[in-house]
Amino acid sequence: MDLKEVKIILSRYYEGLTTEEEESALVEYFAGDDVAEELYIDREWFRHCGDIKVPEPGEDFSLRLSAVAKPDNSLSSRKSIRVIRYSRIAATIALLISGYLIAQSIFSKPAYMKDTYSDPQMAMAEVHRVLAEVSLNMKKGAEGLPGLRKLGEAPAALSTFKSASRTAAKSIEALDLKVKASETEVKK
Amino acid sequence: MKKLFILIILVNLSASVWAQKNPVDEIFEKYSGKDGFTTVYISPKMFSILSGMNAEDKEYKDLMSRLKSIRILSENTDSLRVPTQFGKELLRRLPAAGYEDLMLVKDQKNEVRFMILEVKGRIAELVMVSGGEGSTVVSITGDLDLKTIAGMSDKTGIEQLKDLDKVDKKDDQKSSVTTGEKKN
Repeated sequence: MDLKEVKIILSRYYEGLTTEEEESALVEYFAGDDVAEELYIDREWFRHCGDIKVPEPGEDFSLRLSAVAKPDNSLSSRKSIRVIRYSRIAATIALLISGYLIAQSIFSKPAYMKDTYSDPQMAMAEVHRVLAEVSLNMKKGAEGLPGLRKLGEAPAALSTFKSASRTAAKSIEALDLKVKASETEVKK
Repeated sequence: MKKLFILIILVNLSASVWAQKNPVDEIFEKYSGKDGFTTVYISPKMFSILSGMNAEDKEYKDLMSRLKSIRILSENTDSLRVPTQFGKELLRRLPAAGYEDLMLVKDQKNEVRFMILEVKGRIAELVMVSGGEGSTVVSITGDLDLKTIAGMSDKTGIEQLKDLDKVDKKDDQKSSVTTGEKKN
């Protein structure tokens, strides 16, 4: 078998297209001494491959194989498939409902949120009335503040009184000195 | 499948977050249109029109442009067998929603409480809840300046109050829309 022919069969072999005869021809070729250097790796493969003994499948092999490959039609598996299918449908419906509720909560307005007055003049008068009422109540609440302000004024008044009393004490001292001086002059 | 379930959980979580409403909104939704309750609503669109009126008064224009909406809900005790006291219900829930006490004005007959909602250091909502004979809730939203609002009673002169007669007359007509009691 020449090198070109070997290469063709080899390529067919690796693709799984070779016949038994071709495979045995390849094994025979690689077992010989006249193997091309470039096919060194293939030679190693075939030499080792020759040692491997593939066991022949038993008579019940095909029966065992079909038993494993047979689809499981048991009741529990059918039920679980049905449960998965229904839960998918339920999940999709829940998703759609959630989306609808979110959209509704964002875009819909409550019934009372419609302008009570269509006439701006009337609306303005109502705004004034409300603001005046709010303002009057706020002022009522702030009426207690003057008392607090008076409390704030107390320390200032106290410091003024202190400085006034200091000035008075100084002037009394000065007067006292003057009186003493006049008394000494009188004695002389 | 797992991805779908995770997606549903996320969507539902976000929906529940969206669904959490402000207690003031809830009170309005709960009682507006019902027998014995009157609702007034002035929308942001109306405020945009109002800010264009009286263009020469800068302070007024500034105040109107800052206001976003006004909502009023009042209870007519005459037509209610048992007062709902929704004001107390609201006041109980407001602190949990981030509202803070501003002022409490109390006299022999009435009790008025002011609460504010601050957003990024600015007052976004002022809620006035008055009790006594029938509760009233006033909610003012916008970028609020309390000093200007408090000064409004000085500004609201006789000229503006003249329109109140018209409002009362119109109110009777409008109340058929806003008051459930008169609707039925």
